[in-house]
Amino acid sequence: MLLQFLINALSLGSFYALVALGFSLIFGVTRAFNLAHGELVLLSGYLGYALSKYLHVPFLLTLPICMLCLLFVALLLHRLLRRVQEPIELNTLVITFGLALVLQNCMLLFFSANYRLIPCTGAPFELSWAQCTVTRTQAMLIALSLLATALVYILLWKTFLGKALRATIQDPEAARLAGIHVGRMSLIAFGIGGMLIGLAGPLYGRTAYLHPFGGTEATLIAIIITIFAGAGRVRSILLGGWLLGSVESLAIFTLGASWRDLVSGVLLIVLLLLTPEGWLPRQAKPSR
Amino acid sequence: MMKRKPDLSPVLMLVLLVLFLVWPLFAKEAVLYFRVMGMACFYGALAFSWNLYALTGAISLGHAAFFGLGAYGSVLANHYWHISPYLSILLGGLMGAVYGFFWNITFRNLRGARFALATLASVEIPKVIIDNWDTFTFGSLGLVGIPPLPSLELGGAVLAFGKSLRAQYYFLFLFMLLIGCIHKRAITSRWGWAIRSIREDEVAAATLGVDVAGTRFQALMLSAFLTGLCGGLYVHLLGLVEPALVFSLHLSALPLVLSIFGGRYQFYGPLLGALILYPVDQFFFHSWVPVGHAALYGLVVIAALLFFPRGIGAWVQQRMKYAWN
Amino acid sequence: MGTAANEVCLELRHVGIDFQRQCVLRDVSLTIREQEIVSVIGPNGAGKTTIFGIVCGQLRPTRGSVFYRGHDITRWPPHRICHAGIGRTFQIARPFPEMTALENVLIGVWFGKQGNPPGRGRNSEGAELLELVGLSHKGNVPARELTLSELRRLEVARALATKPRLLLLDEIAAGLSPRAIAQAVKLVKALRDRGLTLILIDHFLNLTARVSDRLVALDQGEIIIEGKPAEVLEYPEVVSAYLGERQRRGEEEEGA
Repeated sequence: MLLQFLINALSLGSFYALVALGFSLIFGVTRAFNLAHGELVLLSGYLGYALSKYLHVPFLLTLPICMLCLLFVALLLHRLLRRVQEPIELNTLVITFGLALVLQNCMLLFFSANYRLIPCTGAPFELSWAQCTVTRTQAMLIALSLLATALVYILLWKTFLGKALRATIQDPEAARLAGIHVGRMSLIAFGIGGMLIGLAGPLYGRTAYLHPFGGTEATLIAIIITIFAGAGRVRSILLGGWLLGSVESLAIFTLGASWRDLVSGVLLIVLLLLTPEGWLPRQAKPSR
Repeated sequence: MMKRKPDLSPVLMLVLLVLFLVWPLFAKEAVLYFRVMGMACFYGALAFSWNLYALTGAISLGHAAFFGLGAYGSVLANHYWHISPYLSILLGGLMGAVYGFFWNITFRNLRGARFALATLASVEIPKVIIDNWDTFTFGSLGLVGIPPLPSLELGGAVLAFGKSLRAQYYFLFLFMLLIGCIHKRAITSRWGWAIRSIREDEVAAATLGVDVAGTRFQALMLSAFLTGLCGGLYVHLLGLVEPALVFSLHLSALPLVLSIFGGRYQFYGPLLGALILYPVDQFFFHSWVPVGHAALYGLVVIAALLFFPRGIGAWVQQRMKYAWN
Repeated sequence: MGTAANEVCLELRHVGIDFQRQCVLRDVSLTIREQEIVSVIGPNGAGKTTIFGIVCGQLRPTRGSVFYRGHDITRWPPHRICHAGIGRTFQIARPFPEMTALENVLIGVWFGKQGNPPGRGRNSEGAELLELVGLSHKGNVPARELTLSELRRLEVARALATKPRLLLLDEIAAGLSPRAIAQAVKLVKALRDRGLTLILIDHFLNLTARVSDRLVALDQGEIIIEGKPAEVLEYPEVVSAYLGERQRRGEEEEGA
């Protein structure tokens, strides 16, 4: 029983970490606040749904297609947000708020308010020795999320590009002075973020119902984990994802699913109150 | 304060006032006009209420919390205590103010994006509680059959706000005017200058003797109260209530979009946004794109922030200034 | 209401402050008397502006307390401290960017003392202050269009609008030409003649020797030494703290 709970929490948590990773990378490098993050995940999910239902594309193939499409969308978003003036955090927040509205209504128009789910073909894995079940979806979630997270970690910590990205996250001004092309870093961050969003979409469509207004949840999750872990800190994000997945699973188990949004809301408020100086790994110096 | 060039706006205002107040007296059958413009006035009032706090520089994404609490406060008071809707609407305003008090205590050190996020998250608390508290609030099913505004007798004339769309139009117009006056005071009075100094640089303002915390508190409480009033009024206009309706993101977004579009720092800005965007949405977009027409508001926000962040009013004024010179 | 010179105006008692696990001020104790002109000098990061922030209420010290004319103002909010009679300028000017120069000053006039209603009479106070700092011709210009030196002067006019008894001036002479520095010296002396007590932060030592009664040298959050300007500037530790930024007395003499 406990093991089943752990498996559920682990698969949910890994997925949360995946959702948060893209957001945190974009935010860390560009300070751009993408409130439409969840809607983009949803978009990718709907795309995966359409591919699988109408074009009969096998599920595993929809993943790279969605990743490519969302890469493109993310680069468009990057061009849009480049024109935003100071204060960047607040203004990108409001603009993407508008974008979220637009996307929600577009999805409502094209896909209607019906709940949709990408069906799972194939039997779940029965682990009779532990008396629990791991569905194919869950297995895929865990495997792909961990794979993506590992790849991002290797990129950030074992490559030169990753070093440049991390420098930009810590202090864009200093990075610029050190010769790092910050504009290019922004582009790359959006690109990688887009691909991660693209990956998360169809996976989301398999686990939860696709619904035009379900994006806010995903955005909130991404924000909560990013604040908790710090932008660009891959291992903390993974841990944060697992923790959040466990907390939410527990909340759903004890209080019921309808209280979930309240738990997320309170969690976000608490985190915002506890970290007044900033969400980034390195604290800013006092300006006085 | 100091006028820098002759101001056309009072003249314009007078013309518009006559147009909006006098013409409808003779047009009894313009039902569509009354319905759309009446609601445009309502949303103008809502935008004014939101903008009161935005004047201090704080962008709230969670005013739906005040709206929803105002709505439910009004509905439940009316349902359980059978008090007049006018009274219950005031009670709704008070509910909004109570939650505003909570915001002030909890979010007092948050600014900018962090504040905006916190407000967004804070809508969930009353929404989920009301949604689940079936026995008291009727939960997610909501309540229908809410009585409309009762008629008032004024010197022989009966103003049937509940039944006559024209009477309702005038009521909403006056409601908007009242809140608009408060909004104007919040810009042009001494208190308004304190608010403006906080917005432009709160650290410097404090050094010059402005009570930053106190002024912020006043602005927030007023904004929350008025938004709650709007919520309470809304349910009596609509006749029904449910959590997903009155706590929706759309209701948090709308006053923001209208104010940013119309101009956050002009006393007429939010109203301008409401009078332009709402009819455009209802008359054009709604018929072209019946489902998802609310995307208009999202597009407006994006365009406004990129091209005319100070609002369309200021943009026009600037263009006129260039034309003058 | 007159205060005799030599009475204690401001007192810092063992003030210390930590920022995110970094100790910015260790243990600062300082006494300023009425109508003194005291300069605080020291290298970058010594904590000079931090002291101003604590006195004016923007920052809350981790240790110690601040007394102003016998009142413990350590925990007072900034606006209350302003009403009590302490004003300051900021090292990097903080004007209200969208307001005109006159409106900037009027905020100080209206809110600087409790219960000050705006009115026609008040506008002239603002105009007078602008004239005092030489900004009359820029009264209707939005502050964001002013030059750096004009902004500095606006800061002073604005701070004076609140009718302070104690004025904290943060680097008003940095980056100014010798002639502008001479004007600043005149202004500071005129302010003292008006009965103000002045604390100056003067990292570049431009004003210091000419104007101050006393010098306080700060380094790494502690007071190294305080005393007459001549003594302090010769003190070996002060000289070494300034190594690389040392200003010889001779260069200063040329400017006047």
